[in-house]
Amino acid sequence: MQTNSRFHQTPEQLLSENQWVEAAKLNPVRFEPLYKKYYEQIFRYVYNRMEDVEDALDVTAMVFVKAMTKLNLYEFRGVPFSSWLFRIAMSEVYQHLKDTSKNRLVNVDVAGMRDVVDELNEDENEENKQLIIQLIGKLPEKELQLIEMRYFEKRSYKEIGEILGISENNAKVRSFRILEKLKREFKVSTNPKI
Amino acid sequence: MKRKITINRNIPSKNWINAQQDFNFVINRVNSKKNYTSKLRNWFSPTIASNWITIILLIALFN
Repeated sequence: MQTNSRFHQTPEQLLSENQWVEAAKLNPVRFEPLYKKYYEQIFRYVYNRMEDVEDALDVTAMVFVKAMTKLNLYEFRGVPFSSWLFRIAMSEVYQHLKDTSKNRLVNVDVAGMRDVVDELNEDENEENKQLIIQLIGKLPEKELQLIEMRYFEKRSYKEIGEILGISENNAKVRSFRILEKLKREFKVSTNPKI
Repeated sequence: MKRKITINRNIPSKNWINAQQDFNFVINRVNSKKNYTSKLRNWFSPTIASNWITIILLIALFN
């Protein structure tokens, strides 16, 4: 499966990015290059989970406000700064949805859906796809996060691991287990006698 | 939390998204938060704390 490789950076890029972070810790105005670099990625992440574009813009701004006010707590761990921003974005999205009682959006990407159907070894017909979409929509939040990041946002396991604060291998294993679970639930739904 | 599933939702263009950037807004929010926190911190600083003690003693005296 092809993944979106924008996240990955060379060790030199990571170190130079960390210099921006250190500069921003001393002077918030110096945060601007990081803001410009990651604004679009964070907005897309937030927008994929929220119905309203205005809400997505507000939450994106809040992600950066929070990141800047808590920047002193950030520690470089050899991964892109964006993984920290994504974690803040994740919690801001949930907080906003909780506060406003709005729907949590699950944006299913058709190409990604094809990969899921393929992984489940099922025929790619409309009926199967609809059933799988329903099953994905019922997954617990942590499992849904992983599936949407992997298949609908085309993130690599390395990136998913860094965003969720788990190892790349753990992300792979968890994803495999979720697919196995979907496979079982699919069989039960299509053949209730099993 | 209720969920809503959409399929292949239209995502705004890169240009549109980047046009929404407003670093000044973010930096102003950060500064106002910092001012608030430092004001709050000042109120509990030793100098202000001694003022509080004086006020409390005066209130106690007049009661």
